[in-house]
Amino acid sequence: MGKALNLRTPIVIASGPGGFGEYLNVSSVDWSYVGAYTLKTVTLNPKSGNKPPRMYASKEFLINRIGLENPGFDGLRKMVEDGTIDKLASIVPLILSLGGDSFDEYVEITKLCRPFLDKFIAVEYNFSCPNVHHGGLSIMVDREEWRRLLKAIRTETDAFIIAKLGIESGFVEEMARIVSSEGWDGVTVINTIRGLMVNSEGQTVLGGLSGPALYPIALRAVYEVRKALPDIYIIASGGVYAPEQVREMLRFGANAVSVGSALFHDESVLNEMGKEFSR
Amino acid sequence: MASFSIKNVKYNAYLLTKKSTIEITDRTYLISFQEDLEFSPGQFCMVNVDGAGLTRKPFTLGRIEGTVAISVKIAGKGSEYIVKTSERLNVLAPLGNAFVPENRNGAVVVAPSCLAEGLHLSEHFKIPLFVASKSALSREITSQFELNTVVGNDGYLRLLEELNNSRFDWIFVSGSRIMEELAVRNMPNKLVYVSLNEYMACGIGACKGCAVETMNGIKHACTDGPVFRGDEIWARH
Repeated sequence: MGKALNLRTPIVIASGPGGFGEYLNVSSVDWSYVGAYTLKTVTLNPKSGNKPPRMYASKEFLINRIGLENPGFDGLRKMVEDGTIDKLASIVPLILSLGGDSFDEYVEITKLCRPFLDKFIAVEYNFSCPNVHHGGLSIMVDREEWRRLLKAIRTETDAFIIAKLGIESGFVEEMARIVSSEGWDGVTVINTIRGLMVNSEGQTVLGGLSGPALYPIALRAVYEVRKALPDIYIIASGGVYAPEQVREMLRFGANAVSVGSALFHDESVLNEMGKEFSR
Repeated sequence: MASFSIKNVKYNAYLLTKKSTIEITDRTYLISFQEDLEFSPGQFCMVNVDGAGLTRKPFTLGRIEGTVAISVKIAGKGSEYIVKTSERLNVLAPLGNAFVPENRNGAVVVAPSCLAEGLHLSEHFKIPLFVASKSALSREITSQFELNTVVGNDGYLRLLEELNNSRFDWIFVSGSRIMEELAVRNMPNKLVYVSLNEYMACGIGACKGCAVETMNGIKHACTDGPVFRGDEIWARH
């Protein structure tokens, strides 16, 4: 078996919708039911994100085009230095999410974060954000360069490292095979998928699709990756809104299940999901 | 820009029982609740719409005769659920910043869709309230303080002109985006505050979905607002 995270429950907050820990201020969640909280992706330099409007929802899906808004490595360092990360981590184990606009940026931010990576139980690398022009999904297009990047990151850190994969750069199980062969510990499957909708004002909205519509696609991805790789650690991600979906993801091979846009509907669903796994 | 300091606040989820649902004008309702909750003028809440939508919907909080209330305009399935359901509403509150004006020499202008907030601000700060409605209100609204109603676009534009030349130092406007923009552009003599009603998903600063372009860069309606200085959002000509 590969390395595992040994979470107190398999429920994980997905990177993005959970921001930088804001949901810890919501009193209706019992955090002992949550295994880990993945922070929003941090990039080397700050990003102000895409121009508004950024988010639309229908009854079946959400489309967002946030654009990785984040305060960059300096903002993260400040949060470490002022004790915020320790405070958050005392409530729920944290997973750091890192991203970059280029090969060098991914490596650079890994090096810079090394002094405080022990505050996080794992580092998830976002290789699949569909809402930025550089990095994100596009970094995987050149397969050989991406493989070199995986190798370079692996040599920079001993941390438990996870690649967050989408389904738009090839068969997800093939991507996961590459991740595993470079010595990485896990994968998060899947990210949002590029979607298009026409909003109520008649505007064309391009963004990443999430929500219930994503669920069967994510479930299939988990199934395929597990079939291909019996030992890799898998965090299932995509359209999970109910406890039975958590059970189903686990049944088809996930080690943990992340919850994202369901938080926007009612974050107390975390209690229902985590309750049956609580030790 | 994203903030890395999480605020030392608690957001509570309440189950609120409807006390009354009153139609104020076409497809716009005033809903009051039996339970009380603490909030400050200008703050808002996010209301769960059960199976009618994937995200909670934001509404400014107000009070009618001391009772917690929101105003809801039916704009889609979610708001329709909120108006029609007899179930208790799952509400996350209080959210956003309190509105703290520099003095009490101001006035409040609201659309019927923000009437609960308007009544609360007017009574709290003891300042006049102007309700600007596209069509006549279907029932008389009473307030413990001065209340005036104007109807139609011409009525609204005349009101803005009067307020621009009035004794007030500031005007608080809460309604549609177009209504707020008109207020900022047509009252160049006044400090205008606007309560922005952006599309929101979380309401607590996590998702970064309710971004607003301001003169000072990207801000977020939920954590930087919902009340902004109007000249921070729209240039004056």
